[in-house]
Amino acid sequence: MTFSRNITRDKSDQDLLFDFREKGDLDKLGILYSRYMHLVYGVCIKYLKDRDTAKDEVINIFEKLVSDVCNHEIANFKTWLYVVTKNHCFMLLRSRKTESEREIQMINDPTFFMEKSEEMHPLDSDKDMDESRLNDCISKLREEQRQCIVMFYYEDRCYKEISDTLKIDEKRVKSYIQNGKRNLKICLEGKYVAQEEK
Amino acid sequence: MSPRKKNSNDLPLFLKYARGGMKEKERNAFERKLQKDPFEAEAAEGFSLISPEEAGEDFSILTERLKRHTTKKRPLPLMRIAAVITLLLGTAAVLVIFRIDDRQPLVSENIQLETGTKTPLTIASPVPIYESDKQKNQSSTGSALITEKVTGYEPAVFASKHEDLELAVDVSAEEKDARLVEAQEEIITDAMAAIMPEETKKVALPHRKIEGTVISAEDKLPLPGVSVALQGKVSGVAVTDLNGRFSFDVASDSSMKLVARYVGMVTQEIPASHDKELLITMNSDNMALEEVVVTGYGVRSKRDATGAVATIETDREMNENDYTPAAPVTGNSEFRRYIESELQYPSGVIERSRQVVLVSMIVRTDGTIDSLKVLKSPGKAFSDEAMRLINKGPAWKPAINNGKTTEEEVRIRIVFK
Repeated sequence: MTFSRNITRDKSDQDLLFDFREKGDLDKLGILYSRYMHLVYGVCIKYLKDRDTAKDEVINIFEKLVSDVCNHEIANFKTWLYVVTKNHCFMLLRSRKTESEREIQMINDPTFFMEKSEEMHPLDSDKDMDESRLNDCISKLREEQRQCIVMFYYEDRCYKEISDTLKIDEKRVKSYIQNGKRNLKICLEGKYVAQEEK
Repeated sequence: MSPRKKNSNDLPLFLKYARGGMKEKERNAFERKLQKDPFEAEAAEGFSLISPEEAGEDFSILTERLKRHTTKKRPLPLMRIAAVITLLLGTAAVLVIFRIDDRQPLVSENIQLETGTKTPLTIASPVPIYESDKQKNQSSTGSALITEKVTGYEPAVFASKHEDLELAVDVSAEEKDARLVEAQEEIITDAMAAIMPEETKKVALPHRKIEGTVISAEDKLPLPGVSVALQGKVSGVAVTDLNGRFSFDVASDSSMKLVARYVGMVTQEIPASHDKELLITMNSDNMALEEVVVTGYGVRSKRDATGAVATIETDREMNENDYTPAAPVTGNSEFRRYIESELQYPSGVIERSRQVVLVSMIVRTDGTIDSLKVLKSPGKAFSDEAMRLINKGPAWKPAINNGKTTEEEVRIRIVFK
């Protein structure tokens, strides 16, 4: 019993997904879901701001998965689950709130418009890259973005340290890193025109 | 990102990060992980809104709930079938038990079965009874009595030896089964009949019309919109029209009451009669419509009671025989007027709202006021004003019980508005 359990535990997401699709074994989907349930919960908390609602929605999302998993081609379960979770939360907010309330909330949340790149950013990848080009691009970044990127990726400093050193809010640190990364990417892809002021 | 990594849930990392249990380097490593994956980044943002303890607690609840969700589904059909079977068996058993009580033949049949198997030889003829008497002294006397009954019931079957007897037992067992089924069917039809007597009666009996008018007792004018129904019936509610008229059909044998309901009126019950035109008079129900302040003498609607209202509550019931409660010499209504006119809302209170001061005092036998104290008050200014009013107010006459004056505790509510 424990043996077979361990096997299940070691199975990849894709295998578990396959098991569920083929045999309808709800257990397997449950195991798969529990791997990322804390992330789903975290995202629900972020958008719904209420523990009880978040908990209910985590279970609702699972229920949704049971039917949705079979109807979709899923290459990467985690990424897919992220999209499903976010959409679920947005739909809920949309149905719950009036337009104006939502807009105010979006404006007040500086991270809301933050870009979330789906692709792996060169800075985040473990692969070696063209250092000179990268350095060139980093030097072209705006001051705050450059500082944050350097401290975060080259000096291995955490958000809090950066926020303390530069005396800026942690949320701003995060958004500088995000935006810096975006600009870097554009630069690396050769589309970066140095029209952005120094 | 890819499943080749360890598959276990990494919530502990999130909690450690949220708790601040990481060194700078570790934090940076975790933050880099978050940078790689927007899903994790957003989740971390979510966790930052609640405490790590709450997150951990919620997560274990969720794990539990998820487990219930994944496991309950599969055994469900089996459980359902089992439940249905149990229910059917249970009902059958109950039916059988009741039926056995009703029908004698089944009982004797049961006895026949039992005794038949236990003492097979005693049944054959009177001669072997002596033999069996010698062999089984204890059992034969008891069973011989039953034997008579048994043989009288089905004499042919018990004539011969063991094998035949077994056959006989089988036969009667089958018979019993058949009868049980029969019995059950009968019971079911009986039950069906009992469940739906209304239906059948309705078909069988002619309908009668009940008609009438509802008027108000106050002005004798018709009341529209009153719901009139047969007592205890959900269906067949009639609502009076603009002229206060209602009508509906009932089975002619119904000897029930009609109930008329209307907001603000006392619900009326009258015997239903289909022979004559009904007239229902409804009295208005003050209690239902307005909050009422009950004062010493009489009833006053709160709406009418502007300004201050003093309410006197005495220890005893007002209407008790030979008992007159303590009261101001001027009378309660005069006292109330006095309070209303004299009461001054404490100055310095910016927002005037309804406030109540409850004072208690003892009216001695000679009419003097004693132990005056404030039981409830929103503040000192209010208490002082209440005390002032009582002290400056009229004298009191003591309570009289069976002709003798007695001490009485009097409570006075003074309402500031």
